[in-house]
Amino acid sequence: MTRQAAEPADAVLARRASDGDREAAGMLIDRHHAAVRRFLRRLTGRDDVADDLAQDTFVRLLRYVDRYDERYPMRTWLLTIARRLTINRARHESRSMPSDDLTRVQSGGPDPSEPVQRDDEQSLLRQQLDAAIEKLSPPQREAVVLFHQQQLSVQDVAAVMQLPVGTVKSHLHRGRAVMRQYLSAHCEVA
Amino acid sequence: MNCQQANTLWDDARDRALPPADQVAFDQHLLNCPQCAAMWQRETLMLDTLAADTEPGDVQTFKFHVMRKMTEAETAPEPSGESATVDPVVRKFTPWAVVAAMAAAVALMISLWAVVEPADQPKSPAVPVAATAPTHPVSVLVQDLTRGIDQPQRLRESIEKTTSYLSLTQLAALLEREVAPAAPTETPNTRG
Ligand SMILES: [Zn+2]
Repeated sequence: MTRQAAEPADAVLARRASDGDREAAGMLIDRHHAAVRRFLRRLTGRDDVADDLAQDTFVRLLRYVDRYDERYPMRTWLLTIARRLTINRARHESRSMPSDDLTRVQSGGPDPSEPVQRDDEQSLLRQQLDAAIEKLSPPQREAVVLFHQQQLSVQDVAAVMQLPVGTVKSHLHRGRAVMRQYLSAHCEVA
Repeated sequence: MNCQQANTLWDDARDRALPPADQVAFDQHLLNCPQCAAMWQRETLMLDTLAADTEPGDVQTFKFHVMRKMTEAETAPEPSGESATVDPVVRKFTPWAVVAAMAAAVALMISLWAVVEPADQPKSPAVPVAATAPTHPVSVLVQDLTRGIDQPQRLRESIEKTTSYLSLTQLAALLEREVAPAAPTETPNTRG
């Protein structure tokens, strides 16, 4: 089986996948699975739930790939689907849900009140990050993760969250402020 | 600039959206204020850690489960509503999932055969594991596949059990080498 020297664009792969080309479908998954899974892991706090939702995201993508609008990045579309599926699942599983907010499917994060015990610097940072993100409201968490982990522009974050840019900035800034508060309260900053 | 003023510029500085003059003043404050500098550095480390979040696991296993779910979308009876009809795109991808499942069974048989067979015995094409161990997950999957896929739930469980044994890299290689050329194809643009 031969591969093209240059990687085909997402739009090309989408058209081929829409025509039933399984290799193109596989290439889209190869290209975007990591971003979607990392995003969902931060949103849900659980790897297994995140991967299940990520699989559903790609199933949805492949079912409706003929509707892909080539003017927009594929990743933005995928993250929009992923976010929507997560909200739907959280709604389904939770008794009381605040309006359009995204609530973690199940809280799998660390207990922020527990003292940090790991001595490895990277592990320590990661643990602090987990705990700080746990403190964020759902929209704050989405904005922070989309902007800082996914490295989307504020405009693209707004597209994924289906909110005005100003509102996204507000969530992003408040979210970071909450994280700084956590750092001040729980970590030695000196 | 004092700490309070620095605080008001903090987010724009973080977003690299400060006007040059403000940026200079902000940087100057960080140089002169150990507390703000330490917080800036700590926050930077934390956000860098978020940007460098751990890569998720094996894409082959992930891909396999996507295709398995595509198959289920076709084979499972849908009660009503939007998903009641089988999407033509799903139908197009179904052969891959079925082929993948069959290839998985073949690959599993090969790998488990090597494990189960005592080392001092000659490598003979005697009796496959599937024929002698009907309760083994691999055998169950093979049986299900040869019987035909009329119990999606059972097939799903069977595949899930076997995927814990299988290196899907091996499956992918096998697909490329053995199965893919013979896989059924459908004429493009047949969706109506
Ligand atoms: Zn200061």
